[in-house]
Amino acid sequence: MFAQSDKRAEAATGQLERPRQAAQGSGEPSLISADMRIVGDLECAGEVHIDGKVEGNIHSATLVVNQGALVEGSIFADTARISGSVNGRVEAKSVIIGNTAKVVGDIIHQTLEIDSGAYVEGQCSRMEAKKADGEAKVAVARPGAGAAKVGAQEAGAASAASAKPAAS
Amino acid sequence: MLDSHSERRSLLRSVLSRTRCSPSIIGADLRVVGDVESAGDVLVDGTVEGNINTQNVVINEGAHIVGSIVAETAQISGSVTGRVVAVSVNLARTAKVVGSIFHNDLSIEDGAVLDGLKPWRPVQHFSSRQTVR
Repeated sequence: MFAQSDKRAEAATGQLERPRQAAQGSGEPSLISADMRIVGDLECAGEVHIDGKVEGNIHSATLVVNQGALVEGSIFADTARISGSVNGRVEAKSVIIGNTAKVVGDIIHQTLEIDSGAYVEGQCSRMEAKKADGEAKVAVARPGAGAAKVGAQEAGAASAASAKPAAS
Repeated sequence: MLDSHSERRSLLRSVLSRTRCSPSIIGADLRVVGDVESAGDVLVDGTVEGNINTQNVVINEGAHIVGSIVAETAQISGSVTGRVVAVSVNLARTAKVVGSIFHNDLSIEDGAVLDGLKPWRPVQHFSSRQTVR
């Protein structure tokens, strides 16, 4: 079960390094309490709940930023539920932003939910947007036509994108 | 799954000091590359590549710390590579510490591995730590 979620996390973010020493996970979420401050990066194959302060990037399968928490850095996750403060980019398949949240940074998502009252400042783009030559292009969901139109790299991305919904 | 989690947390509260916040838990699947500071309790099952500065720390079996630990109490059952500075230190049977342990009160269970000095210091030596801002 956990091996599958790792693969999905890697496919989704592309940048999530499998934690070298980390175990497959006990299934219990890690908790960064309100009195904790981490200056550095977090890598988790499972679930992380943040009530405190993290100055660094976070790679996790599931991430919950509770009200009062502060994250200064980028977030790469499968699922991100944000009710606190985030200064940085959020890249997750499923992004849920609560009404106490303050997100200053871009949000890259497949599904996005923003509660009324949330403070969001940044660009919201879909995750299928593949960066080729530094430019974001929306992948056309027609692998046949896509292969003829774009280069080999884009075609590989388009077929991978269409294969992803089938796999998940 | 949820029940065992809250059970574990309540067990922690009975073992560790009662602070305002619940203890932080660095789970087995979490790896922290950087320093960890807390005003309360920290329970480590995962990996920390950096220093830990907290009031009470419990390092469970299977945890790996590469860096120093500064705390008031340190209960170590895992692997620590770095110096430990705490008023009260306990090394359990599965502990492996490579580094010196500056302590006022030290207990080492049979089976623990320690490769380092064990300098005793008076309580005044362990000056008030920098608290979390």
